[in-house]
Amino acid sequence: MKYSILPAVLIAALATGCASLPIDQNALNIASKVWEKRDAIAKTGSALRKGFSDLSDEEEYYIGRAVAAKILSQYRPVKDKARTSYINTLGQTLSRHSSRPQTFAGYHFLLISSPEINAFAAPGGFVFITTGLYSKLKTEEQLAAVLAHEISHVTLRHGLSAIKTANLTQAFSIIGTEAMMEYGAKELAQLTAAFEDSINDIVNQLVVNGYSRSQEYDADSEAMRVAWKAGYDPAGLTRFLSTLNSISGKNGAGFFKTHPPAADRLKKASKAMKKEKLSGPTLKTRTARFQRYAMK
Amino acid sequence: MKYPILFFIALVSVAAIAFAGQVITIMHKTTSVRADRKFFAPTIATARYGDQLTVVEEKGGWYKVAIGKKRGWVHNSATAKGKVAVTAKQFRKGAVSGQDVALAGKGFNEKVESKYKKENPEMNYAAVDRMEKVNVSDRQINKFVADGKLASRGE
Repeated sequence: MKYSILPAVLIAALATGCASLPIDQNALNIASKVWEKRDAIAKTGSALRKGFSDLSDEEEYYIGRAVAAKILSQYRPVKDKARTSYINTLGQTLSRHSSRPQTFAGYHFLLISSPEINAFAAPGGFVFITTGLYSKLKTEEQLAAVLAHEISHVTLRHGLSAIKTANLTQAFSIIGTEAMMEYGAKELAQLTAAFEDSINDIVNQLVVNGYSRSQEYDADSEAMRVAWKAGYDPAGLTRFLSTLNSISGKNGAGFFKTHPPAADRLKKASKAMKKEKLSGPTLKTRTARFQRYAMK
Repeated sequence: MKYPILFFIALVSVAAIAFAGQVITIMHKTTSVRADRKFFAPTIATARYGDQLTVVEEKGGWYKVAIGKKRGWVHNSATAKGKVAVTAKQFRKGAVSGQDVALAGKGFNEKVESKYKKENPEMNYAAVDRMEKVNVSDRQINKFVADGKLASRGE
């Protein structure tokens, strides 16, 4: 997602009480339905598939790899072993507390070089954070909030939902019901075209348009819970949003273009956290650890 | 009923045993076979894509499976019920029959990716491959949690 949108969404989500149990339950229900459906698809191997939630974890992985490859053709990966290891260890700790602790090939996190404040999550668990965003973080709790938000986009399959139905329908009809081990040249060309269109749908959503407000609300709610379950202070999120809000005030470069004022959202988020009793300490030991990997 | 709790326990036990002996197929690239039904439990073995494992017990979304001489738990999100031939090798070996399913080579897969790559050489798949190679062990995660005094509030 575009991080310029995140703050608005996070706070608005919390403001409307999305961080409550029903949302968490919603995430679990989605996961459960996908698993049930996957078993059914595996059993029938059929073309009964209609929507993005019918894609298998393996298909999601190949879609995610292509989306990631496209993002990485536009953004340069940061070669920094220590920070890469740090964000991957934190991200994987968080993912184990999410409603979808494992994907086809697991969650992976990468810093990408860009002054813009942004982060993306490609399907299957490929998460990217710009150096612009990373440099604004002050504590490990804030980094946890950002990563948990991106993980939540994966667990809720928001990227996949961006694929236009026509592209999915085309793909599913080509895949068909046959126990086809090898595609013919024609089928492979058609399927690859549907694949490419699907990738473009997702990248367009991630990089250009951003997710819908409700998707962001849901991701924010999940993120709060995931960070809290992992033992973090969920207020890391609101504190980071405050930082973004102040930046937005200085140069409103598109930050909250499509969202209500950040200050209102922040107020409501705090209220929602209180209502849900999501609290915990921000330990100095974690902040000190983060400082070792901070980016000035 | 005089002993409702005993009846409930018996019912749950029967349900758990009912799945024992059935086969599941691993549908993820790899998945940890863990000592306990928790994602933070130690990994005792690794199951791979297409492995067909016999279920010993089922409990709370986890399957206790036999893998070699070991027994441990895999989460159902990495599995499909029954025998599923997911690789061409399994398909050729005739590992599927009757009610079994052949998914080998179906859907968006390596073959589709390969063609897509050829048609779009500017895509940076090499960087994605490097991204995937970053490995975080259970030990690293446990140390990270302990050092950060992260008190888990449940998985």
